[in-house]
Amino acid sequence: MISFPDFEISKNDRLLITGNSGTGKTTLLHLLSGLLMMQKGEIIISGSNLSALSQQKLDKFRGRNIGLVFQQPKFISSINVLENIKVAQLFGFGKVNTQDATSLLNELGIGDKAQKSTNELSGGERQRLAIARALAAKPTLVLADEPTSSLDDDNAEMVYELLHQEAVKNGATLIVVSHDQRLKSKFENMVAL
Amino acid sequence: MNVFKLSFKNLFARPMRSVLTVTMLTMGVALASLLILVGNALDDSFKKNIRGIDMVVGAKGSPLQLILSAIYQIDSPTGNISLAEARKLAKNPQIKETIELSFGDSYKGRRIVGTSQKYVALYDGSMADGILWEKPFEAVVGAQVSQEFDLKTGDEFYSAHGVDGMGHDHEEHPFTVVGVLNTSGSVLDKLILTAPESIWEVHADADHDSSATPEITAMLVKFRSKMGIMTLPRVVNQQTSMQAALPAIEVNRLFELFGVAISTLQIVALVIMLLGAVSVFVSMVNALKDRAFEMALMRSMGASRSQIFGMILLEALMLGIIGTVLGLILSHIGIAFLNTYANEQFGINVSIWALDPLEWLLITATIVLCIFAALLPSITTIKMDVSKILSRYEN
Repeated sequence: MISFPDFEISKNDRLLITGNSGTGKTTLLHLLSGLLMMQKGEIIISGSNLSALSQQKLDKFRGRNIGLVFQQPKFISSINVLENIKVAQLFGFGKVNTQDATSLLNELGIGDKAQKSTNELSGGERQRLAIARALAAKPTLVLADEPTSSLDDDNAEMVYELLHQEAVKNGATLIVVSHDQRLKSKFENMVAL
Repeated sequence: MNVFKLSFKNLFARPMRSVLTVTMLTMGVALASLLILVGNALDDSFKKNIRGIDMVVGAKGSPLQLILSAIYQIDSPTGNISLAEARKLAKNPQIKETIELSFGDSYKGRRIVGTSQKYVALYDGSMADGILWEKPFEAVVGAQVSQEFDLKTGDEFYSAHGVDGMGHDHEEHPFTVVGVLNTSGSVLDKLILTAPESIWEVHADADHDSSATPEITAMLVKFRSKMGIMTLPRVVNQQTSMQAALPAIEVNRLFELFGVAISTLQIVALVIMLLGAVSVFVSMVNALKDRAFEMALMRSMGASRSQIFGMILLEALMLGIIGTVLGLILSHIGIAFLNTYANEQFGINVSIWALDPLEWLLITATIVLCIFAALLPSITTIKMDVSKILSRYEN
């Protein structure tokens, strides 16, 4: 049983949720994205109470509203870079827009890798692709789970800047869950678990 | 990009696994389809040639041999019978029509049959060229014989003793081709037809006593009513020196013999198909194990449980369809090769392009089998704990 404090975040704002290992950071993130059901309490995103939604509606809600960035950038290996973005569009809002997908890749500086297999990307490119995928369905909320923890200072800086910049550009609220001390100086709003 | 394309790419991202599954399905379907086609063709050909023949009368011996030699022209004759005795039987009021056959000679392995023009009518034969025979030593050749030896109207040839083409030639009497038959899909295609007197004269002159009474090899009989089957064969077998055989019964007996071989092959085909289904099952289970994280990822992107379920079923369905299509292509190519041989030996010809109704059933059964094999693995995706899978791969 893990309890979390109440917190609120306004639209287009940024929030850092910190805490040591075992404090349930990932659990909270999965609750926020509707991948896990909680026993008590409620989560309200853009006026929708997640605990009141059926499994099917929750899947749809997640696809339309939430973009997830995981600590390990992993992709569907049988399809190429561009197709990974298209799949996120497909599951996010049901249809594919190649032009949007391509411009997103260009925006993140990996437009030239569109036809490559995801296995051929370097670590930094994989991080970029993971961010691009999270933004593919134009979410209102981007949730990032330890996006910088395993990266060196330069790459951590790059990933944070991209997340920040893309969230602003796409009008998305950003919540980062991390124990990474380097991020503390970047956020005004913080919740400690 | 759509779910269909994604399934397709998933299949071909791991080609070796798919190849194994598809190969088994292909082999199973090919064998099953081949059995259907060959079985039907045998059935067809055997039925087509006994059409209109209720009974065959010939020399005593094996009834199956009599039927095979007199109707299908694929076995040696049982011997000869007296024409007088045969004609006496033909007067029986229960008999509607008879066709006398005299054979035993051949040209380059193709049998020469001395008979009446009714024999051509029996199989709805029609002329491609020339006319039917009128006099002895006028010959009409079947479509296949004409093609094989380039025999055309006006050509001459000498017959040889024996039906296997190994006997000595009868060099005194050349035959003249007066007509060529169209392909009828019956035994006519591989025969050379002539008047019975040609056969008698060749043998009377060559090595037989010229005073001997004329003999024939067999007589095809059509009854006035089906009641004839009850009494006539017994009458012939008990009261004459001839033998009567019923083609329907002998053909059934022959099919029982084939039947054992065909059922064995059917079981083999079924086992291969089931192995294919097991392979689909294993392939899907493995795919789920390998791709659990990818599926959890898709769920995190908003894919619903039914979309993931559908994707796995779709993959199995594609394996099934690919296996079925390749299997059918393989069996029909096999038939194309078999056709050449079967047509020469038995006058069997199977259409390569048409799909038999039983093959449609085979297609449906294979695809349903594949879907069932994938059902259990697909259902496990519905119960998958996305959060757990994602966090497990994270650390």
